[in-house]
Amino acid sequence: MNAQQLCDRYAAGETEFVAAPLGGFNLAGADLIGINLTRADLHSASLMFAYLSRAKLAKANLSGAKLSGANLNQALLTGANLHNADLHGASLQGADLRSANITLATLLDANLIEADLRGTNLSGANLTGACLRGANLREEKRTYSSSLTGAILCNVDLQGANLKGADLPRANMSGANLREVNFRNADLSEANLSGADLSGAFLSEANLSGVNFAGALLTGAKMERVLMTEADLTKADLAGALLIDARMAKTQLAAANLTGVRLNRADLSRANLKNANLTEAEMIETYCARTDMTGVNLTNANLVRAELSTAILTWVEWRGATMPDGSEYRD
Amino acid sequence: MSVQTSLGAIAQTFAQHNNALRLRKLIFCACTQRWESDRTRLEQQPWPQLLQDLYYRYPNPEALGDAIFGVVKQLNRQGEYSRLAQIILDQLTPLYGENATETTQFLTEQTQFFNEETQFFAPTAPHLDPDDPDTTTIITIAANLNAMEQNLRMRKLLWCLRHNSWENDPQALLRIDLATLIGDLQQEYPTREDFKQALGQVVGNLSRRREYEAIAASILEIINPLYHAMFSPDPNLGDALPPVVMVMEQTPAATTIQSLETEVHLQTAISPPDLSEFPALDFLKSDNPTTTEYDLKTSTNFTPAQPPPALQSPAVKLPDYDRYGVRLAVMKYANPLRAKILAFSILNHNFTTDSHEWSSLRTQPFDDLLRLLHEEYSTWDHLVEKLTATAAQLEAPAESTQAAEAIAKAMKPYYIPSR
Repeated sequence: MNAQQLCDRYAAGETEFVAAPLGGFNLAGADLIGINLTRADLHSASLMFAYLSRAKLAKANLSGAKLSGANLNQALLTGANLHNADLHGASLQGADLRSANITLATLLDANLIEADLRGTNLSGANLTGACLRGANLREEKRTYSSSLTGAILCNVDLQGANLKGADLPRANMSGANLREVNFRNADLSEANLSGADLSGAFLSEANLSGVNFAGALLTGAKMERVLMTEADLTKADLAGALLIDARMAKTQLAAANLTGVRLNRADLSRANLKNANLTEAEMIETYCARTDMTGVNLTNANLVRAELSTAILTWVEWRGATMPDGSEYRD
Repeated sequence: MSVQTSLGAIAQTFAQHNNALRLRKLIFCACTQRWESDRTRLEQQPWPQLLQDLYYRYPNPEALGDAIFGVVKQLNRQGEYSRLAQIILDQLTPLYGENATETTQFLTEQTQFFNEETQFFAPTAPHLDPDDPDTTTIITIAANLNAMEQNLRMRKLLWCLRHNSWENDPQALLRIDLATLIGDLQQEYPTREDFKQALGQVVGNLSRRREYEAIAASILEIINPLYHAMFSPDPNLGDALPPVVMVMEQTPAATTIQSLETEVHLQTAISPPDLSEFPALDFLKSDNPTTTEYDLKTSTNFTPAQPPPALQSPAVKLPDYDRYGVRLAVMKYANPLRAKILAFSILNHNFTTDSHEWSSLRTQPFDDLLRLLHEEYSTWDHLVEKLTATAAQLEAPAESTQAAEAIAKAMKPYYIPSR
């Protein structure tokens, strides 16, 4: 069977092509809506601008396939091999990609709105400019979680996506739209989130150690119990963020906006908070051993039982602050 | 009004501004080259002192604009801070105008400063002699143009008039030396009528014609002394006449100027200049002539003409351009790659899928292309026209047209609704 014969048979009403050997076929622009290509071999096939919406491609071999501009909306791609596939500008809205191998694939400017990506391996994939609003990358089990190790996710739109427990170590998500994303328990260690918008994101218990958050927007983010040692939050905006029990040793928070944050019981030992704004911050029992707090603004902050005895506290604005012993600050 | 008094008034305005703190941050950084987020530190310096530091640090609006926008470029919320930067520039620019009016040494001083400091700014033209009465007039006119709220758009018009090209870059526009430009225009258009006709022609080719007509009227009023001093007023144009109602009926080929009170009817056939090679120019060729009425005041005291209400206070508050929102809306209703190719084709040249342009397409992020489209086309109608025309020329015109519709729909909220 060659490409033309496949198209002719499909046009004649045949839709079942399970495990068909179609490697290297040129099916660019072909109308194959709803076709059943389960376990088909389509490696290195050209499917540019092909119409494959609602196609069944479970466990199909699409490694190295050219799928740029293809329409795969609501396609079934569970367990498919998309390693090194080119999906530039492809539409995968609502597609089921659970457990697919998408390593090193190009998903530049692709539409992945509401796609199910649970358990996928996206390591090394390029998702720059892709739209993943409402996509699901939630961890099913520890052994069955989405992996985005080293993925390129610059300017990606993941607003409202579920990435609970996802593996994103060293991922580049600079400038990404991550508003209200669920990163609960996710591994984002050493990821680049500079300039990203994480306002209202759920990051509780996530591993954020060594993350670059420089200039990021984290207003109102829920970050209880995060591990954020040695993260760079220089000039980041964390106003109203929830950082209760956060582990933030050696974190860079110079000139960060921490207005109204809740840092109760957080560990800020050896962190750099130079010139940070902690106005109205709640710092009950916060641990500030050798924390550099030069020039911080603690106006109306609550520091009851906070450990400040070894912190560097020069040029601090204390107006209206409640001191560790419960008294109000007096000049 | 002295500079100090004006600074005091601006200080009061800024102190009551909704974004007073951000204004402070910008000004503070422009003065100290350091970004300060600490409110207490920022508020330590009283507003008048802060503004005084800024004003005396930068010798003219061009340098001030460079400094303020230079700060904005390094920030994350560039859209928000750009607007604030423009407010600062708009408020302080007239003060430099006052300074120029106060002294005839303006040009010489500026020239010296730029020669010493940088080659970046356009030096003043050597043929302008500050002691020459004509040059004094030019300097005064330049200062008056600078003092106008719409001085950036005035610069755009005057630049186009002189160079036959449209300049959109605010930095480049602010670098224009207005006195030199006006001197050049005076030589190119020896009579006020020549100047007026040419200006009308430029305006007639713009998509925001109504807005620019009002700006052109202000320019004409301000440059009046330039011709008043040298030439007898043209009775037909009413320089010595009471206020004239001017009706401009413009088609691409003709401009009609009608004075209702004097019953003088001038019709001048004008061949529009071939500006098609300048992509930044907006050509909204309408079969229906647009009629705009406004008073052409004949006084020489530089009182600006009353702009139409739309210019005084925009009736429609447009939302900030949301790159994620636009991209999402396009992707939902069109093939992302077709839409990207369409945007690329409009901004570059028609893309063919069998060409070797894929790598070029890959290097240009889709949302960047969409944002550039929004910047390039100043009216929604013009954008739609371009999208539709280009889509029809591409491979897969049906899908490309669908992409055109999706882009148009996604961008519509960010344009002023057409009347």
